[in-house]
Amino acid sequence: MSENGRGPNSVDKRKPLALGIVGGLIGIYLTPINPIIGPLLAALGAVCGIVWGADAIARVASYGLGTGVPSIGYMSLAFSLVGALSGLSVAVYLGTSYTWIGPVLGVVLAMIVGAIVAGLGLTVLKMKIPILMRCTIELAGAASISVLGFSAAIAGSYAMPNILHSVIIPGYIALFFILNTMAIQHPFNACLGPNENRTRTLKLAFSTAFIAMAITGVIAMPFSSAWYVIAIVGAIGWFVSITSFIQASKDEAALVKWTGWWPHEEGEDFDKEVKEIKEA
Amino acid sequence: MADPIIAGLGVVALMGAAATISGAAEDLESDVGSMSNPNSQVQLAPQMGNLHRIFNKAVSGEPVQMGTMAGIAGSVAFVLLSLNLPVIMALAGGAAFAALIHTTFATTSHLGRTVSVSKFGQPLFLDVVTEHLGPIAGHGFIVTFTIIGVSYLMTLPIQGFAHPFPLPMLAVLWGITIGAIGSSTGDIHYGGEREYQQYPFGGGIPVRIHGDITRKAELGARNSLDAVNFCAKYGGPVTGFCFGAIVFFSFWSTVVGGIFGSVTGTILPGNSDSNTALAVGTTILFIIIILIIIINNRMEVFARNKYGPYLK
Amino acid sequence: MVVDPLILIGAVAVGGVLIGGGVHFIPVGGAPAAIATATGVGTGTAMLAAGGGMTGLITAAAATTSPLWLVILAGGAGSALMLGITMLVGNWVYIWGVGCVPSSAKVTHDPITKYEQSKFVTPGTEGHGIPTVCFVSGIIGGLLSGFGGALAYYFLYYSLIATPGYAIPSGAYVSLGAATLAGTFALGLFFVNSVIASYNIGGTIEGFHDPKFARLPRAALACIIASAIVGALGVLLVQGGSF
Repeated sequence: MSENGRGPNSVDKRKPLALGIVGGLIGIYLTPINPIIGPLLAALGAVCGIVWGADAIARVASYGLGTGVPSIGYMSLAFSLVGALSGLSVAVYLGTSYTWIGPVLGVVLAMIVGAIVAGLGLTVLKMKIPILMRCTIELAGAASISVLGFSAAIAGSYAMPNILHSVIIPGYIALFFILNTMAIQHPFNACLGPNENRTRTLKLAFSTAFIAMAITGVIAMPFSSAWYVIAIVGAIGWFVSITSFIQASKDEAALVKWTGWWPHEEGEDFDKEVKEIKEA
Repeated sequence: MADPIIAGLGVVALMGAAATISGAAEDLESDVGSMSNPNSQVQLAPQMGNLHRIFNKAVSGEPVQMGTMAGIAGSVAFVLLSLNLPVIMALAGGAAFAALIHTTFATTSHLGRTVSVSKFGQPLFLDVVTEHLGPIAGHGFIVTFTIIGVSYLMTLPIQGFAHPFPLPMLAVLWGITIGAIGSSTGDIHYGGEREYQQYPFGGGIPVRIHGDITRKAELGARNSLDAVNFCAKYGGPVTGFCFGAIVFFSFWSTVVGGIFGSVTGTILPGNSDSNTALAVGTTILFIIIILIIIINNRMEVFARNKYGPYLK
Repeated sequence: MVVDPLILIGAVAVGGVLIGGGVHFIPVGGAPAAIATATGVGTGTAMLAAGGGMTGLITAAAATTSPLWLVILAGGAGSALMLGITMLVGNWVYIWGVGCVPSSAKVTHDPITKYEQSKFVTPGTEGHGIPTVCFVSGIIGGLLSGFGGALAYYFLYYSLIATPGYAIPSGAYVSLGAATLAGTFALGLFFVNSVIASYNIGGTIEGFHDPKFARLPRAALACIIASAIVGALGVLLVQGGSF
């Protein structure tokens, strides 16, 4: 087993990482440029983060964590969400000229907590997963970027007071916790099995990320003038990615049939049973 | 003006009724889709040489799935309420939107898991996807609609309610709870009985028969709609009872306790009066918990006497 | 009330240990229990604990304006009530739906009722259902984790409302922003600690009589460190109220 978990069945792990960090942070930092384009870019940044997270979770969960794939997803989202909001809060404390430090500090704080939790898992709980440390840190980064991106898309800014008003007080923050968990863990959890193909898994990751973006667009309606742009771009992205996922599934399936029996029993077994029933 | 405690009890009863429907629908939804823990057997079956026509809905655990769907429904309903739509329409709109999202997650997990066991020859039947999506979305709609209904009632400024959490957050919290309940109670009826119906009733499932699930129905291949027909007779209703009882009793601390003072959530300040009320209400909850322990023990004794030990 | 940052960190750390420790008491059998092959509730460790915790959080938050002891008791009662009813109805399904007697293969006699177990276990399984000892253990677990979540919620809420950004608006009695943020924080604390505990348990546990219960100190250490770090993030969150 290679470091990637499954040897040849993986994509170059640097690509999702670069996409997540660079794409995610650029998207979040470009939020204030324009009231329409800015939130759209922030939501796209969150999409990049989710795809990165989906790849990281696929690598670590290939080892078998003992409690299923989703567990590490919601654990990472839990501390990353708190970490991301703490980063934004520190920026408030430092003063308005330091607002820019918030998102990057949030991501860094989340990654530090991720490192500590993974370290505890390896040392105190004696888990035998060599890539746990790296993947938990990556997941923490991805999760915090996804939360920050969607929050900034709704608030139209990455400053804590705006996010407090339009994301925390309406309770959307709890939705982002569970929705982003779903978006990050679903691709690998849904494609789990001996014939899992990482490229197909990542196609599904784009689909879950874009559907989360479309939902974010819809719920941004009371707070953002860019809501329909986010929702429509998310829906288009979802349609393209899910079409390609369904095509990939049809290509890789053992057999695609509209209806009918499974192969082995079309013949003798079934006929024998019918005969038995008639005799009885 | 009606007595606030009677009014509060009425709202609690309504919430309990909604939660009962919600719980029953949640369990049946997980049976139509074959999800959560019993799905491990559906996943294992092809590996054991047992190909099947059962839906394979591996959308994480039920708590995360239901939390997400209820959260989406609650958030969209929140948006529609902010547009001053009538409450019932806003709740239905939110639940309908969540049902659409639900079908995409169901489809992708069936495709994903089925194709990932292609090594064992499991075919991808497209009619299995199409004929199950309707019931999945329908049951999901009932669950999310009733959950956000309960959450909405909780936020109303009535004595004993007026919860400080906003609607989307309450929807997520109740969604996670209903998922945990559904996968702990009703699913056992599906996993422990319906999946292994070719084996005699009255016992656990030994490890050696794992994966040998019942794949044929009275006529033709069994699909997950047959499973839900069966579980609707016991697993679903008791899950509904469970969630209904939890929602109903968890408000006794603020509503029934309200006889001794007014517990008012966000609409009045806390005072010694409301503290007495809450203390009494919480004591009632602890008494209920002790009663539950005794009832459980009586049931265990009943089963031991009725069924007796296994014969060698 | 002004909460000292160190008290906040301490409260969150204690809350985290209570949650992580409570999870060890909750009898969960995972996928095997869902098909009546193992004793306990047929779902995952973290999920059942979180489900109970959410009910506890809702009942605790309903008591937001009350003193600490009431918030904590309300949280514990809600959480234990959810676990109690869930286990009771789970047993209904085991007894009348699957037709088996609640029993455990890990002990010869139930430590509480002294009932003999092995004769009632289906051959080839590790037990099924939730016998009295597991039930009582689950109630204790629910109480502990409910206490823990409510503790963290209470202290973060009172830390937040002391700041100008989250202060209670005039004419209201609860700060909605502070309640939601503290609730989300407690939700996060639940998931972090229940997952750490479930990694320590590694699948299934039957309660305090299970041999795996001896691993509790390890999880307590991991939970106290992780929660203290999360508590430190909570202190940073409070700083965000200074606008």
